[in-house]
Amino acid sequence: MMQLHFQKRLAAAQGAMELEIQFELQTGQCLALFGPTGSGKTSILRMIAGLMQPDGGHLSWKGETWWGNAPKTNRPPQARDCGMVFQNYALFPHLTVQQNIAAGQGPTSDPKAVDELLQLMDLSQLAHQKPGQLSGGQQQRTALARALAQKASLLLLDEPLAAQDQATRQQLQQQLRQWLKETQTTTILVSHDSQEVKALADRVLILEQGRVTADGLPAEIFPTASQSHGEYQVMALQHTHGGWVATLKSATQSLQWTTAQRPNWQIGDIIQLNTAS
Amino acid sequence: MDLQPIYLSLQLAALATGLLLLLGVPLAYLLTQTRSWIRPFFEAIINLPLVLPPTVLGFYFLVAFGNGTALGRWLQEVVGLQLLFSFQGLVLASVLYSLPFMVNPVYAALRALPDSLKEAAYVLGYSKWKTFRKVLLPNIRPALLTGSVFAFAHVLGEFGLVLMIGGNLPGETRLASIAIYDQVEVLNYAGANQYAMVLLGLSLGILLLAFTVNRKAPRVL
Amino acid sequence: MRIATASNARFVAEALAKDFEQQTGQPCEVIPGSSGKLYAQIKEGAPFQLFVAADLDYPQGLYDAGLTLGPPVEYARGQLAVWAANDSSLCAVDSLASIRVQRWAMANPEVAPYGRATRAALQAHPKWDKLKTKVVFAENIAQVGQLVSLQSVDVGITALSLIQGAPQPVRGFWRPHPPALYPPIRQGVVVLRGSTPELEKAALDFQRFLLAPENDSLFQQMGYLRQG
Repeated sequence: MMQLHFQKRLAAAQGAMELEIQFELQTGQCLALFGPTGSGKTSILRMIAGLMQPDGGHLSWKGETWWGNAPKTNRPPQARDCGMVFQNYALFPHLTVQQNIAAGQGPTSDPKAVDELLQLMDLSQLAHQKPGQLSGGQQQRTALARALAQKASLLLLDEPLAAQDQATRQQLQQQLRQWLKETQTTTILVSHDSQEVKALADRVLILEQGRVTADGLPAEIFPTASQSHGEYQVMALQHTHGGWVATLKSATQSLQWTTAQRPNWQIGDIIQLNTAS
Repeated sequence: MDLQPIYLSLQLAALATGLLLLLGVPLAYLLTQTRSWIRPFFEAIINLPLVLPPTVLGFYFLVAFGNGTALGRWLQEVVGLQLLFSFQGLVLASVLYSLPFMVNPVYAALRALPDSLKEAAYVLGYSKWKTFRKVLLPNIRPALLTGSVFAFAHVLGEFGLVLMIGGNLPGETRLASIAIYDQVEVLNYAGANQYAMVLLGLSLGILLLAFTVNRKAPRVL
Repeated sequence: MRIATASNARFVAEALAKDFEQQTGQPCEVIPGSSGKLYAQIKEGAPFQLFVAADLDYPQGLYDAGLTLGPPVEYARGQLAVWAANDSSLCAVDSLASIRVQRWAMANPEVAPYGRATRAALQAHPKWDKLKTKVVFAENIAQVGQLVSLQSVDVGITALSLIQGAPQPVRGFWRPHPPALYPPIRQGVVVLRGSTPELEKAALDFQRFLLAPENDSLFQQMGYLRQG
């Protein structure tokens, strides 16, 4: 189980922001952090991995403290049993796809496992190419394969499928979900795609301005169109790099509504959602 | 033409470049790890040879390592190291003198690498040392080559410093650049020209090779 | 045996070293340089056995510092030469005032013994104030030679030995400046302490050889005066 409580002052484009987040996560679960750009999602992953220091709080994984203030504890990233897919992939440019994946395995190399991952990510043809020769989507799949090769008990995924086209993404979501369940890997996923959250996550936290504004099952937070039919009040409206995210609230539930174009609503408006939208 | 000064210059340049790779590259890495407020002091000291006249550097060497100072006497009598008027002294002086030529390109290349490269390695369990060897170094190969070539060529062309502390000893400290000076001193321009052409050809060839190889090198990210 | 030699004396020293080597079998190397630089290097322990200088002051300094096996001995007197690159009518001090001389060169009197002698020779000249406006100071006598032979200046005042001793023919026209018109350029030699007894003995032998009357003609041929 993970117990996490972070406080961190972040410098954002709109000025400083106070991040404060606290949750517990069961082993084997996949938790999604969902929210607009600048809400602090990536910073949380970096603090879990040990690449960034929180100002206060506590982090423990499977009963071992990774970060704490009293007594002062800070495990270096190398000593934290976690893998990570970076938003910019961070592949090693001098190594081939195959070597990059093998680099995830640590001192004991297992060529067979590398081959399986190459196949799983549809990279077998590209095994001997270098990252510079690949498309963004191929690089991202290599980064995912490298992180999976690590077989860490905790996996941190920062927009792991954002560069894939629609068809590949849906296929990879299925395969990834299956892989995570088979290996009982605990996962924290950063995403701003509600469809992806529903496909991969067991639980979702909505993050806004460094605070959790909702915590629940993806199906509750992102109801399908038929369930979301009804009258809502617009609570918040934010621009993200993927489009616009509106927080809507009815008498019985609240939900995030994502659209590509700016909706012609104002905060406070009462709107009607119907199954067609 | 006596080829010994040319051979000696090449030997000195190769040795100094080798030592600079061993010393300058870790130094450049340490510089990237230094706190930002103190870094300018180190940068300034390393780059002093770029702005100091070589004769000034040579003069301080002469004074510091001569018989007149405790340091000079200690080096000679206790350590048994003769740094003035000796080949090993020229090696040491060349390393200090060419330090910025190695450190600067390597330092710039290390800083240009995205932080995420290092972070990804740490998350994969690589120690700092392994990250340096297996991830950072292979991705700054063009800078390593540039640094080596400039350091090598710079040592080949070194003159003022050698004139001060070398002593112009044939087979020991009479380098090609000193041989040219000697020939000019006796108004033997034909002789000077021969040495100069060899030196010019060597330097041009080395630089050309480096730029050609680096042109083919893949860009990092 | 290493013989540190002032630039103006290197040709004569090289010729003598060759003879000495043939006669005694003792290998000799002539290390040329400016007297001031060689002096500084010897003070810092440079591995030389003999110092053939361009004046008496530098060897005297080494003697005073206890670095020599005896006081300096004058081995020859240097001569000044007026050297013109193109025009034979210009090789005399009086012609420096001519409008055909736009620039002339001498060695820096602050550091070069021959520069000191040149200044002494010319300061008495009635037109010195005018000459001063056209002068270029070179770092040493060899650089004066470079400026003349590359025609960067019209006339240069340098050491006669540099011209007459040069292994290859030198371009232009020159004439010795009458020695009576400047204080003598007395050049001294010292044997240096601190090497092996064998080398010290060889150095003393070479010093004697340098001073031997049989070599007077060689010195004169190369542009020096010997007190016979």
